[in-house]
Amino acid sequence: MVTILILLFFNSCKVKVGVNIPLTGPVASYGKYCLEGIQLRAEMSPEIELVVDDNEADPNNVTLILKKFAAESVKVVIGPLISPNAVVAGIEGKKLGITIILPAATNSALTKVSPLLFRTCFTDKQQGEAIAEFLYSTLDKKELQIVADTGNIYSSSLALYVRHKFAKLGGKTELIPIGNKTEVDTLVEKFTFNTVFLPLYYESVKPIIVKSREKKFDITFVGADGWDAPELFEALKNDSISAYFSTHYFMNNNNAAHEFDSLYINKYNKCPNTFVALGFDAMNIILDALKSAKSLSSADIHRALLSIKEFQGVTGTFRYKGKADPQKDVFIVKLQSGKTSLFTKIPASECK
Amino acid sequence: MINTIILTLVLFNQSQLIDSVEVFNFTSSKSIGIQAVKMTNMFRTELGKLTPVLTKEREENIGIASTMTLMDVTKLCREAKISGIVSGKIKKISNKYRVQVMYHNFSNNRTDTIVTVNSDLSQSAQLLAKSIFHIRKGEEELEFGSIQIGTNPAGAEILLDGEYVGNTPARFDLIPFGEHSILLSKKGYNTAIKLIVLYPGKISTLTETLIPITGTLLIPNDKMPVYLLDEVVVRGERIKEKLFETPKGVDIISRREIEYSGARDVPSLLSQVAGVSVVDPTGSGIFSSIKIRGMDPSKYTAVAIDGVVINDLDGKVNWSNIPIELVKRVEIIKSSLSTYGGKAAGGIVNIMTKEKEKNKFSLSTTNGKDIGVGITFSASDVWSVWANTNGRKGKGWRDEETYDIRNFYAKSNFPMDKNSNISLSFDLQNNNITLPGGLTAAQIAINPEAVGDDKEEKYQQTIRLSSQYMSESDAYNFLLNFNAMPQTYDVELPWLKQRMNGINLSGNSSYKKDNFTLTSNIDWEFDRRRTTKNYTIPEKDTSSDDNAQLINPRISMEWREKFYGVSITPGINAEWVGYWFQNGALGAPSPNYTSAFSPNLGFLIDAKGFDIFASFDRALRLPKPYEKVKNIELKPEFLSTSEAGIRIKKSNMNASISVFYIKIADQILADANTFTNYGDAFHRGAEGSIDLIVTDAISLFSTYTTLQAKSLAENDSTYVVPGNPFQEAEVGLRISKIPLFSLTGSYKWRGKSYIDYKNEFGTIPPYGTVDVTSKIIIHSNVSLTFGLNNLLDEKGKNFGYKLNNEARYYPIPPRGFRVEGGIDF
Repeated sequence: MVTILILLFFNSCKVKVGVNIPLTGPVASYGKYCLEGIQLRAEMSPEIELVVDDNEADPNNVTLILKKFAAESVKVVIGPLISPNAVVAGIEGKKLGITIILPAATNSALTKVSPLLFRTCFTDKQQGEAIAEFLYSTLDKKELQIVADTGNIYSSSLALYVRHKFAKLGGKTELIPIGNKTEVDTLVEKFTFNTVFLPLYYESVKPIIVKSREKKFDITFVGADGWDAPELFEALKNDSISAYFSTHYFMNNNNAAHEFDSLYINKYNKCPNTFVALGFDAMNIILDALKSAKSLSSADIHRALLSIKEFQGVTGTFRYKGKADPQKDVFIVKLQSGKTSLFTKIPASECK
Repeated sequence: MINTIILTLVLFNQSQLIDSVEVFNFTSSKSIGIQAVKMTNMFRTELGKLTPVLTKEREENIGIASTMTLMDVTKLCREAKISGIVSGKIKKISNKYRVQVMYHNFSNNRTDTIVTVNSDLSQSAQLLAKSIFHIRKGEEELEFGSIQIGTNPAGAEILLDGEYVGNTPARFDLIPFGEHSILLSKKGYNTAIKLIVLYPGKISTLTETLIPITGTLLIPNDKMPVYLLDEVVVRGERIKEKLFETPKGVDIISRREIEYSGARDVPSLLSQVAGVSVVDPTGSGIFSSIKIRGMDPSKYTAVAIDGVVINDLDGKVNWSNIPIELVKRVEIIKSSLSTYGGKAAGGIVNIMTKEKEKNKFSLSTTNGKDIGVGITFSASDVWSVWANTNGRKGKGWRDEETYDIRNFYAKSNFPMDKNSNISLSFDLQNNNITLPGGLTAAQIAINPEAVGDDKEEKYQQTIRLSSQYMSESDAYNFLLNFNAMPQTYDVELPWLKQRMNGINLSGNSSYKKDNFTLTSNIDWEFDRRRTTKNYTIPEKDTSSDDNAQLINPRISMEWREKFYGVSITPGINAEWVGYWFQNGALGAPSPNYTSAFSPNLGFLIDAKGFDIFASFDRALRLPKPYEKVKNIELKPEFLSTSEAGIRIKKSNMNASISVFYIKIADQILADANTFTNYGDAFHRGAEGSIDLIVTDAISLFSTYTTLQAKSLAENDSTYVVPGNPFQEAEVGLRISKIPLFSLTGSYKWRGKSYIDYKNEFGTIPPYGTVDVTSKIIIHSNVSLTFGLNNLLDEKGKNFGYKLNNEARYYPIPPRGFRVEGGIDF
């Protein structure tokens, strides 16, 4: 009993950071990796007390957890991870006056929902425009076919942003809409340009690339952060033609990342992935804001977050212009014979 | 305070657009007029940035006509052959501006609406200027899209990017292309969240059928919207289906509803479900028995934690092992499921636990006569674990009712890869319980706290090690259960002493593709019971040793098809059971085999505002050696369950009614604790529930169950199955402010029930109880839960049996309390 009272006393001196992410349910693996990153950073800062709750990616739980956090004097919350949950969190968080950090939800519309939402990853819009810029200027591609899953918001919005920007730069684009029932054979027959953008999740990308290679199509495939999965790299180990995708993080990309990589490998004996890095940086940004916050109130922490101009994290450089969405480095990774290498980094300053 | 600015911003001519830029402000007051002028100037600046042709001289054409009405301006424009007019409204709500601008094109009579929200004046001005600039250049197709939003029913509030913009149906034009969020909310319906992409130059259509709030036990009682989710029924094992595709009586208690219920433990939560009856003989909650539709819980109800069945060898459940703080969802299927086998022939209570919760230390007492200590610990890293250890020692309310229980339950989850994981659970129980026995009516009249001459002593030691391997993909689920439960269960009655132990192994896999589900299961169980007679009682001819071994492989197939709006689910379950009983220490095992094909069929009509379901299931229940009191041959029972019901979905009310009929063939009949013969038992009844929102913070709930349970022995005499009340009703009131406070008060009434239908003295009279339960968060780390039981102080009798042709009753506890203080650390 005495131990508990002592624990209570010491706990009350700490800054409570809530973590509202899915640890079970359909996207549990994202949540678990992200939590590893958050915990890894929090363990280095004794002033932080993490309060973790599993929202199962269920929007009702997202709001319930926020209410509980508010009652427990949590100052700032990391999560949720996925965009539909983030909309709900924005609305509830606004009522409760809780600052919410979105470490991985890329939907561009989110931060409009509430002034208390603060993002630490790039948006689909920034990512899409960076990909278009990379294709047009770096790879010197002038024609682009874009496959878009019309039933999926992530796919269709990225397709739209890339298409819009690529056309503005002067390139020619063609959209190939697909749905649930589209056969890979039929789709591949439609590839007539030598560059195809596949804004899809890795499970859907694999059969398309494999099938077009079977047909000896010499196409440069390009993707986005949905490709960033070892399962895809393994499946394409026999494909010697380079493919490219954009992502949030690449190992050893800067000094901060180097340190983070060693820390993580020492603890977990495996290489960190994007979600671990995004979680780590979400906690990083909070700690940075706490340094300049006038008080530990949620409002002051929020003000301190908004006053961050530039931040160097393990996922690259963050540039905030007084807004809740950062301009961030977009990493372009080259994938060849199942191996990944950092091809180029589109710095935050060049992302418009 | 809401300020409204109405202004007509720009007039322009089709050929020489900028030349005739004019601005009129219509102001309703002087102070708002200042805002309008500000807005106009900002707008002019923004437009100037986009169109360098807007020179100083031309700006002189801009005038302010504060006295004109929009109609006057429109008239003037038409006379001057001006092709279009842009008019607008600004509503200032708190510190936000909601700007709605209409572009009326006189040449084609088209009106487009631009709405901007949650931005300051300059941002609004910027967007408006941009929009109008693009209209003028005919370039709106490059930057803007439109959206038509409709809902069924209409009238839902639309939140576009988090701000209220109007009610459905509505069309919004000139919305910047790209991603937007839309929330559609209407009272009494689940809020729909949509993330949409608007394409430049295209009209997107969003038509959403709002789903009424239903299928819940508790109505949300604050303004928090309930978001649309597909409620998934996990059906005990990994076959997932949506709640309203299930043609059965199913209740799901979500995590949110658990918070609102004020329940202090799982049995008190379950008692709020129609058709579920909870008996708590001591008031401490630890010995509660839960009956679904009057079915003997120890025989027919499977209780599972995360898919691992936790019923002891004698079918009982130790509820103190499941701290309610760790429960995230409870699914109750109130009917037989042939795919799950006979252990759940009367229903399943599947309790899903959280991966991690705060560590908690709690102290509690019941009536100040006992003390309970509990510690719940959880951790998650690469793997997760939770453990609960609790103990309770003290006296019950009756003389010589004592208990000393010590439990430990731990569960750990190890992810293997993305699709599979292994979970291990460990259960250790050491319970020493003395129950004071049943009293005759005469004894109760003298002293209801007395001790009966059939006082019962139980000593239970259980170690259970369960492991579960689960692999799951879109089409395929594989589950392997290993459940090793060396259990020693000693019961000492005046006339006999029993010791039971056993072990169980089971495996399951399921495959689901489109409308087809294939499930296969195998169970193996070994049970042993040793009985020592203390007295010779003719009705209880007990043998000294019974060993039983059972193997039960099953394959089930199920289809789902929809014809003319009726979803039909036919299925078949093929199973074989082999069982060996060995009577006496040296007796030879007697092998028995039975195989069965059991059909099942479900119908579901999902109509507007309600759905109707009907189903039939047949299941085979394996015999258990502990049922063998008299030396008669044990054999499997066949349970046939038919049910039909309707779930009504109204805006602030949910209601459901269902009727059921269960036939248990070849049941060992218990004529008031005398196991004499085989016969068929019949449970038929109806249950219903109504949940009603009164105000934002107050809701009402009510349940009603009526039941008739009879058995028909071979000699054709009819008995009422002992202990089953014929009617049970509950009305309750909930007041909550989540997460700080919740209070539930309810009145529960039980109708007359019988010990022995043939003898009037075997009748248990009707009685009512009033219970109150509440949870309060005193400090962020400190909570207090208290319960007041049986405020009416009715010393009724809720359970009875017959001994030596005389009725015996267990009186229920009188007015009492239970209080628990918890500290999170």
